[in-house]
Amino acid sequence: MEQLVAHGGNSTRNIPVDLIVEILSLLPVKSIIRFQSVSKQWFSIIRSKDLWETFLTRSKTRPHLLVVLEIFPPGKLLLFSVPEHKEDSNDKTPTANSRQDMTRSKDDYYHLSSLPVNGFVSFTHIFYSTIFWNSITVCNPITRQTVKLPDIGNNGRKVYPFLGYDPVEDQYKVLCVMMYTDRLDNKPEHYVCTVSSSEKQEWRNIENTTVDYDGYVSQGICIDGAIYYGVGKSNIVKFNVRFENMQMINAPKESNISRTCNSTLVNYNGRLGGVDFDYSKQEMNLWILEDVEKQEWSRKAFKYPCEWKGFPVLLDSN
Amino acid sequence: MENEKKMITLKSSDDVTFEVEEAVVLESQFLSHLVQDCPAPEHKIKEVTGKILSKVVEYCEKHVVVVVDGGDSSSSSGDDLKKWDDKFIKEMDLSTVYDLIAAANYLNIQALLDLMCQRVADVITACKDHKEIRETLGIVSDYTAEEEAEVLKENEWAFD
Repeated sequence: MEQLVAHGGNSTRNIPVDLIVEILSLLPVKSIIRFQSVSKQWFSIIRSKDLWETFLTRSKTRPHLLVVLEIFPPGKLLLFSVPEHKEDSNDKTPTANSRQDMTRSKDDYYHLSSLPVNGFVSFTHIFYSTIFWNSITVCNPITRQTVKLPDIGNNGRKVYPFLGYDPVEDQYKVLCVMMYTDRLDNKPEHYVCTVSSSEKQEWRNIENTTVDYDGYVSQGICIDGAIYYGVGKSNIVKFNVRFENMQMINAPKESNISRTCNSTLVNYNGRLGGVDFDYSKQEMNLWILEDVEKQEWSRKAFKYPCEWKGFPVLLDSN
Repeated sequence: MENEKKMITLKSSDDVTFEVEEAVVLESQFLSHLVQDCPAPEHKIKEVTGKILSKVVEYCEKHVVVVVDGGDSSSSSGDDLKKWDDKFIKEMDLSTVYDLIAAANYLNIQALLDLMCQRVADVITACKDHKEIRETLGIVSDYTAEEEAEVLKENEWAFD
């Protein structure tokens, strides 16, 4: 077995590589990245999939919120990682435990365009000089892994990128929906690009005969190998990341979850959920897709706190 | 009514013997299989020295789940055990930690392995940079100066 040989004191010590992986996975990610410069062996361990899988498994047991602040001008993006639950239960105020600044030239800016998937997010780079090209970048803000996708010509259409992960093939893909928002002919076109840092990336047009929609496209979310996003008034598109096919799901008639404002799609214990608001009743509804095939939804209603009264509640995870 | 406790003798690579209760041995997955498959009164552990085996035994005796009358299982209370663990690792030098990692890995004692890995992780965290890590852990860098500069540069935030 390949071993790390460390010369501690006078004797030579061996720790098997899988235990080095174990030890490194206990460290904060920001440190691990810095430690690539310790030795070539550490470099290859730190770049290995083993370490990130161990880290991701552990990380999922202590979920963090990603808080993104976009500040204009000068096109500054601040990313914060905030623990959902503080270990010390006496202190109720969560504190961001890592912060990343992304500052660039004032002529362009990045816009966060997807919800996080295994720590990865996608950003759309918008050039002020032209509206015909969009550049999409997938990155992990903590590890700083960054993959730029080929530019995509939009011909003046609006671009909605969604980041998805296929756990079977272990691949990240970006689905891009493009459509005119100011013309009658506003049929969407769908393109997919497999995210890769080693192989050539290209956009593939997805032949779509099963899903027909126009108008609104809401935020998307990736759950268990599928990207979901709301379209029109009451539909949700399910895109299978592995097989690259689409299916239309009816949102519950009484709900608003397929629309952008006042609602959001959520991952409810691995199932698709949606949250919307009923202002007349001062209620917040959690809709859960119980059965994809039968398209059955369940609903849980919550009174929202009286402190929220009078505030317009806007939920938009984009 | 308490049954007579079954005692087992463990012998290290350098022939130091430890007489322990069977329950203590069961903390180790490797030893519990060994004891079940081969019910000899004495087991030689060729891969572990007496110095390290004594630490392993000390740890397992402290962590063993005590079955008290009425069938309730209880070990030392969580807080006490944590304090004990802290003291246990604090007194240890890094070379003993490495040996214990190897022993815990071989004997398959997950909790001890986790504790020791955490100790090394803490040591690494306390280092201020990659140079100090090399010194502390005794790692010889195989980077050339150019390669090292390249790696450090790559780590800069890619969006800038």
